[in-house]
Amino acid sequence: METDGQLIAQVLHGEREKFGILVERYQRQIYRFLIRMGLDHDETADIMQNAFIKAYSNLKSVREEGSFRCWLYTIAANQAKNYLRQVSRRGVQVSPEALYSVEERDNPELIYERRSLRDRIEEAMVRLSEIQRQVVVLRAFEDLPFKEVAKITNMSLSGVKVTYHRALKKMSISFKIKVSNTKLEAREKGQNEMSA
Amino acid sequence: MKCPLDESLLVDYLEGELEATASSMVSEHLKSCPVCRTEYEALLEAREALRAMRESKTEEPPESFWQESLQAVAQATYRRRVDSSLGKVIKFPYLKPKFLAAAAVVMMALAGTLKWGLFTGRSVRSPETVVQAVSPANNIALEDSLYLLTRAIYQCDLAAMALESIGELEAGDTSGIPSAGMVFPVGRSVYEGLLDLKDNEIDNVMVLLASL
Repeated sequence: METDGQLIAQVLHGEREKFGILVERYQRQIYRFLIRMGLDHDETADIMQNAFIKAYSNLKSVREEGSFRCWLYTIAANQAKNYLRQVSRRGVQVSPEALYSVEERDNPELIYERRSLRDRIEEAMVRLSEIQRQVVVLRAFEDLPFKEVAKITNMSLSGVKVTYHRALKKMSISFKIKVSNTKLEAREKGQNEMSA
Repeated sequence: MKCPLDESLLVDYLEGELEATASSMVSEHLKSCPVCRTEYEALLEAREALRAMRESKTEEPPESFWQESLQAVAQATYRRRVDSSLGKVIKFPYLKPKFLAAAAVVMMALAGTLKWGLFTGRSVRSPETVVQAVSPANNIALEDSLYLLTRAIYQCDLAAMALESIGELEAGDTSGIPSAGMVFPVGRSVYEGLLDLKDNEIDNVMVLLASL
């Protein structure tokens, strides 16, 4: 299989159709990333295509071998950020596509278990800042090394780690609040039933 | 005593990015420091929840979506017709013999169209038709170049047909025949199309030109 660097060199030497291989290679990853950033399907499709078009126009600027993926994420992340700012979203909602599982359809128990997990994570992620969310998605979902996350978010390596730390901590606190509220609700419900 | 674990170090430990010695030092510290241990457990809980969610397969769009998306990107990028090339600045020519030969053939084809195309009475094929008919192995660079080339010939043919139809030629008025000034930008767009081609593709262009 040809590397990203080899394909880019071929595109730049006139075999332009080779760019299609790069699109096929990365479109699913970029789609998942954008959906998890809180965009819906249509917004994601638009931003993903624009990201590839922008990447193609500026392909000559990718010099470092192996940096195409990182660069593509950067373009997609910036476009998503600009879009989210344009529509003035505050407290980004996780779109349903990000949280729906294929195997859950035929398994009610799994639905209950996973939905509970998703509810917790959804509520916790809503509380994150835009940059915290970006770092969490890139690291925890996309499994990118911190170095790449730092490049994509234009932060220092230690800055990314501190952001990740604070994001996880904030999420953990959100989980606890949710658990406490659930217990409180259960207790109140029990008291009401007894008094009735 | 001030705790030695900063946020960055704890994250490195959490993600398994520390070397063995540093990792065991952090482990030891966590055993003896309830503050750091609580902090670590909080991070671990959040990270595990995220991992569990990552493992559950996310619903993806149908296969047709990826194909359509690829097509949309292709149309906007590497399959885009080079219509704007007329406005580009002319680059210094490549002096490869094959390129010069191809350029000469192109120019001869253009000149031939101008000089004799008017009287041949052959039907004019649109650039799209030619490209579609000869599209070799989905080679976009070659298609683009052929498109430019046939467009140039097509424009000359159309001009000739238009002149013929209004009877100017019969009246002996040849002032409407495409001038060198008009042909130049057309030739330039062909020339720029050729610049994108590799040697074997230039060969193909020459073969195809002969069949036009």
